[in-house]
Amino acid sequence: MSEVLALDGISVHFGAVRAVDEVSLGLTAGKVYGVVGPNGSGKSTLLGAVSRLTPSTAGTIRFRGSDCTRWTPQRLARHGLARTFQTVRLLPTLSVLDNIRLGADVRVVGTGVWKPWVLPVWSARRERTIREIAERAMERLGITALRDRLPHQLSYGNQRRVEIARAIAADPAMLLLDEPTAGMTGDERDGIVQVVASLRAEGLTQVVVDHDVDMIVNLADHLFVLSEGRVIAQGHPPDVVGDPRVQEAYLGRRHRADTGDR
Amino acid sequence: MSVWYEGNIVLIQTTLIYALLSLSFQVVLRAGVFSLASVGFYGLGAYTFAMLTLHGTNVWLAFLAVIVAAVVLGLLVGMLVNRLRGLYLALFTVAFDLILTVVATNGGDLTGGPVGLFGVPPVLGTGGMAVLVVIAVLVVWQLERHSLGRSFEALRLNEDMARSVGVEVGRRRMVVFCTSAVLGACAGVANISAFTTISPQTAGFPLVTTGLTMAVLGGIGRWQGALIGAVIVAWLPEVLGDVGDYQAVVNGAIIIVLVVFAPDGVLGLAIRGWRRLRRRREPEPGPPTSAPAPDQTVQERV
Repeated sequence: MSEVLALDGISVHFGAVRAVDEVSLGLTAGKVYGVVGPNGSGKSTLLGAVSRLTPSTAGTIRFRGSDCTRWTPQRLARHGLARTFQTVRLLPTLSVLDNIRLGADVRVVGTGVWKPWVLPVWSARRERTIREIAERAMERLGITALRDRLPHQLSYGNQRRVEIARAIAADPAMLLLDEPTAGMTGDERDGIVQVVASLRAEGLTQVVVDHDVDMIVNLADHLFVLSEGRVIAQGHPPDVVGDPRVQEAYLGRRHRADTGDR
Repeated sequence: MSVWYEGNIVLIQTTLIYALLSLSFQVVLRAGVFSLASVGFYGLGAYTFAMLTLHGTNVWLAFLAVIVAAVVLGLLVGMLVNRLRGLYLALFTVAFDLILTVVATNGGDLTGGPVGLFGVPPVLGTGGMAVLVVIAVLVVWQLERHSLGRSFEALRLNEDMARSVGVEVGRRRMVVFCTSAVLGACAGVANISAFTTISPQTAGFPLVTTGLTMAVLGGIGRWQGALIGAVIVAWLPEVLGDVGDYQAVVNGAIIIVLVVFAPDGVLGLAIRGWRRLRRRREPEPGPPTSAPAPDQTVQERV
């Protein structure tokens, strides 16, 4: 299996706070990687560093064979990295369909401004292709009936589905999902798990950050556990959750909180 | 020509000039670039056109020179603007407007000093201005359609998200800034060719508040909003003519009420009303299948 993403000593420091501290890992194609850890352990910051929305302080990032440590987020996105956010980021003024089209726009139209601006026929043709891609993404997430709704008219679970649909409309080589099942009911969570599994079957590499350890253990091929910005354990998910360091990171904190010993 | 047209020709031409200026504000604000430099480019357009035509340059060559000057200065200022966001950007562009006003005031014979320039031939009639507005609308409309429109909406509402889907932020901000510069300069040309005179006062800071009021009042989301704002600002004082001495007060009160109760502008209010009406006619699909979104998911609006 070829390596899609390789992090070497990636750190993200905010002053004296080491949100991510010298994380090194390699992800191979077609697998689902889970990232868990207590609140504040640096999971979302790590995704921010990988997607270049959060500047890294040190270390290197290689994605699909290219050193993209200094790339802009938009260049990385065009190189095949798509993501969703911990807090849903949909455009409130656009319909579900238009929000999903946004994911396919750059893939179909490119980054240029002149052609779509001065060639209306060219632009209209590409718009049809974009619509077809968006329709397929909606169908896949089961949200076709919501295509004309505005985001605020949707349940939280459906907002998350729209965000995932926007990400897969970009036809990425790697998908980062930041808490994709947060705020969802059991049935909705199962639906997202099925989507992740079907994308894996198609060979899409995915990184899933979530607090639901049981769900991640069942879903992921490989699990990383973060604590205080560092990877404290990794490997086959059932083995990792039995690791004493992981127990300490979760249960130790809970135990100390229960006893008021902070 | 009808009696009504002859009696209101100044207002009609003012509306067309305002429409160009309002579009110049709207095109940048819609993309999340809080630029108030349109008035600076308005002055640049008016003065450049006046100086050239008063020295005998062909009108069309002078107009072409105005466009080139606006694009060149737009690119230069745009490079600096690209590094700024929010209030810092607004302050920078206000400073740009003020610098151009100072240059015009102290420009000696070239700019006419505090008195300004006058006697420019009225080359653009109402028809010519209307054609300019139609071209401007087509240019702005095309920027609002399809993938370009979505990318500018994303830039305004969530720049990080726009980056994450591959939108080239810097290039797009530069394009809207230069477009705004050209539209502002065209408004300046339209103004001087209608009223044959330009001075530092008529291209000064008060025009910033007029332009901003038009764009915000009409609604920055679509080009129609800019035109609605231009019509309201140009005609409201005339409509309120009977109010007498209290005209300015009533004018201001109406604008305050509109801004408070229609934060998306008059156009946004109309669109929301239309959507509400349509929802009443259509049956609701099934109930939400999960809890409503928590407060933190509400997107920020500009």
